[in-house]
Amino acid sequence: MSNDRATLLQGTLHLLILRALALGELHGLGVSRRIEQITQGAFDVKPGSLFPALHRMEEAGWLASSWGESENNRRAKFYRLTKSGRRQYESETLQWRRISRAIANALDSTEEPA
Amino acid sequence: MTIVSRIRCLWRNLTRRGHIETDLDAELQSYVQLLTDEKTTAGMNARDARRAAVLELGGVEQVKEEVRDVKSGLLLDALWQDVRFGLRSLIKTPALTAIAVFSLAIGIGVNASLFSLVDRLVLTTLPVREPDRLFIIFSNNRTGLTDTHSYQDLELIRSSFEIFNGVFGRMELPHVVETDNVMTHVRTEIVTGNYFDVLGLRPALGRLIMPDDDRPGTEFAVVVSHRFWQTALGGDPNAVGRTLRIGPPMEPIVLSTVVLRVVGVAPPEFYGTAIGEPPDVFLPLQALPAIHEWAAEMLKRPNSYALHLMARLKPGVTAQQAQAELWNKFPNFDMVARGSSPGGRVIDGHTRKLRLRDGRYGYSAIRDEYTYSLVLLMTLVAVVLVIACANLANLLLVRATSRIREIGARLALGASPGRLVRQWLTESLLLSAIGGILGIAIAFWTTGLLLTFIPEEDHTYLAFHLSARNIAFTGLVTIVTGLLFGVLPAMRVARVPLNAVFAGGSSRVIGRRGWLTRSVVVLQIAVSLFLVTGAGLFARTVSKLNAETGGFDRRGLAYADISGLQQYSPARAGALFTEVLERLNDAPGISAASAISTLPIRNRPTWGPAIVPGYIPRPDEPTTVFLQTAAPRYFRTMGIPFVAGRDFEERDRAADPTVAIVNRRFADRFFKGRDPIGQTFRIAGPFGDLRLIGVVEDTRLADFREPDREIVYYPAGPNFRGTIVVRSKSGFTSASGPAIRNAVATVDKALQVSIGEMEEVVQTSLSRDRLVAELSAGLGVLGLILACIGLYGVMAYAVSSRTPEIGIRMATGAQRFDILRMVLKETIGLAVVGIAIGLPISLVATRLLEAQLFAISPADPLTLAFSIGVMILVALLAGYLPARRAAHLDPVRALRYE
Repeated sequence: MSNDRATLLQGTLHLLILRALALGELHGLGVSRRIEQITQGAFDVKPGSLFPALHRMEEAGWLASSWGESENNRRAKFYRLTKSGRRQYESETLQWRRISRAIANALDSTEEPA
Repeated sequence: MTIVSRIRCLWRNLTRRGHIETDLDAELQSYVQLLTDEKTTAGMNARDARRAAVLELGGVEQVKEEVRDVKSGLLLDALWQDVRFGLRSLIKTPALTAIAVFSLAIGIGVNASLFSLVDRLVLTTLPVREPDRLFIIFSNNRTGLTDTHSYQDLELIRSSFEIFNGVFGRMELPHVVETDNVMTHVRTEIVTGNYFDVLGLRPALGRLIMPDDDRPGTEFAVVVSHRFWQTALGGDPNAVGRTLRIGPPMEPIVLSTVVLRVVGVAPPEFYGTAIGEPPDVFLPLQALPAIHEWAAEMLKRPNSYALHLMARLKPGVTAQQAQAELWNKFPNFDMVARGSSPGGRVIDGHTRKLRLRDGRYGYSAIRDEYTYSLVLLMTLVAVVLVIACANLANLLLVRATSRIREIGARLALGASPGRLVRQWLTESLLLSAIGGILGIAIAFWTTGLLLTFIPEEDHTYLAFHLSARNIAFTGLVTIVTGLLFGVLPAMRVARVPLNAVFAGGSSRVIGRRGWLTRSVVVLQIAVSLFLVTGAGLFARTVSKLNAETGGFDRRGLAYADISGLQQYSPARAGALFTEVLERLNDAPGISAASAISTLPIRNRPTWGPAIVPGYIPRPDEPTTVFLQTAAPRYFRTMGIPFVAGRDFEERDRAADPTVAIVNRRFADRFFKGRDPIGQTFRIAGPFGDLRLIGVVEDTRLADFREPDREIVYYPAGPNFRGTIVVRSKSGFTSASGPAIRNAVATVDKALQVSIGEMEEVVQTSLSRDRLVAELSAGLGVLGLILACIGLYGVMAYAVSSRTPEIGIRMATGAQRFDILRMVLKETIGLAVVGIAIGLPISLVATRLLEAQLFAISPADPLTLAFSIGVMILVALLAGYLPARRAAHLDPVRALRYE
């Protein structure tokens, strides 16, 4: 993965993980698959990016983890949003929408500056 | 993320690392398992699914590394790893580590020790209020500058000046003090009532002496020092109110009836105003006459100079203003102080002026004498430390080559060069930290050793303490040292080209035939040459000083001081003294006994201007000569030969002298061409014409280093008392002791006598030179050892890296001896370059030492030749082992290892 793609992803990765977990707790692979699903295949998150992000978000207090059993009765580590994680999710979503709207406006405008 | 939660994470990451690791591992394993399940469900077979899953993970270690990278405490973790790794690799090379730690410990330790001495002597102000406002009052009198004054002087100064907030006087006397039936010898500081006020101190317990306490009586308030309180009074919290009894420190002990009541304890960091003379008990001045009968006289007499004066300037007054005021008000202090009192005489040609000197550092005789030497030594030691660093840099560079494969592997595995540099530096700092800690232990020991050379003073103040400043200095030196010798190899390590490593060409690391290491060694040799030369010069100085006789024969010469004569009238005292001398001269085993006003070398004699008829001095030519008073037989006792004329006899004894003996220099200067015997001259002062009756050889009176001066000897008068000198028949000073005591006791049982050897007096005067000589010799040896080690290291490396070349030479016919000679020649070659560089450095640098030398030139060829010889020997020694190893190489194996 080239450097600029990596940095782009890091900022948005947090948001995507938060979104993925907003609907319920998941284990690592589950998060990856959910992201793939909700972005309709646009992002394929590799473990090398996923796990560092998950751990960093856990250290920041946005996620909490616990060991549990998967669908196939395999032991797996599950992540869920904490209260501050949920707050973070909401604020980041707001910010993202604002930015993307502004950029969309900038790219669409054909007016000459007055 | 808040600070609190970050710290919590940090803590967790550091302390539960093992648990976190296994957890992460399990998490990744579970990921792989789930992925495998996914694929098998989609139709793959178990084995392929697993392999695919593992591939998709991309390497467990890599992912783990990525996770670790984002966790808090990364830096600390890495550092801790570096430290552990560093320790392990240091342990793996024990010899190298030992040498490194040893040289560092000595270098850092001695540096720290010298710094602590200089700090205490020169940099530490008195622990009083605003020490920069304190000044010592001194004046010049007939013998030079003095800081002692009479009680009258003190009163006069106190009452005459507005510029001072307070002036106090103090003097020190030894006593014995009895508390709870235990006798202790103490240093007593006799102080005027405002002593503590002017200094601005607060008591540790109770209160301090106040002006009201300084009045005559039978009971007096005293303050004890913190140390005395702890030791003699057992740290008693109820010490205030206890009584002490006091008496003069003479056998048999007779305590005074005076009662001393402890009113307080001085603060713990207060050691008095004189460095190295910490008082145990502080006594008010007016207590003295109650304890000693002679003290009342002393306080009344205007010319008994016993008190040291210090003053505090009023705020707003500058030192210059104060000094100007002192001069303007009393252009001649003598006339004012003594003008109207009986017996006071004005001496022609002298104006006694008052001067101020900075008092913030207190008094210190050793400071004035030793500061220059100490700073000099510090510089030398710093130089040695630099050599040690250079050595270590070299050794570590050589060591880098032996670890070249390890370095290469780490680089290949993905370590960044920055990480390697950091790890290498950590090792160096570790080495220097261990050396530094050991160095502190060495500092304790070294300071103790240094202090044994400094005579007399109480050493508790000067001993090495773990003060904040000392620790800070040691730490600084340690870190700087570590960086100094660590940076060079670290930079080299970082630039190792990978392909060269595994191709086996390890010599590429040091690069270009090791010019860097060689130049470092050459520099080491140059500096060592300077150290050895310096040591040689100092050693010869001491031996030359020792060889000086000073004009008299000190072998078997004893001296004695009688105390207790003050209680008698001057006439009686003089008679008793003469009787003692007579008895001594009659004693068996004593070949001669006499007395002199001031003992040569130990005390400086008084002086005065000579007025010789027929001799017209030039306008700017000083005519001051040393003045001594001698009893009959003095010159015979001292072993000073006569040049002409006769010695003093009993008939010359008179209230005012009418005859005199002079030394050769005096006769040659003032009576050139004439026969001096029978001539008349006078010394400006109270006495009249003197007839010259004898000429003796020159003697050094003050210092062996000083050139000879003109001396005039007066004959002893009837009231004369001085220092007794005794020569025993056997030539041993021990024989004189009992005879002296016997003679004194027979004359008067109440008298006390202290006896010493003239040899000791001379050695004491040389102690500073001996200190410098012995220490610089030690440093020279140290520098040599380090240079030797450095040279050895370089040659050992050279031999090992040129093994194939040696193999070829042997294979093509070179004999063992040829190889040996080749290596030794190269070693000597390096040494010669070092000497060539070191020689001019030495010549220039030793010029700076000139003030410390005696009777030897800084460019003394003998000493230089000696140093060069020593360096060559050391080089041979260093090169011998590698040369032997080279010569005994098996050519077959040597060639195989290319």
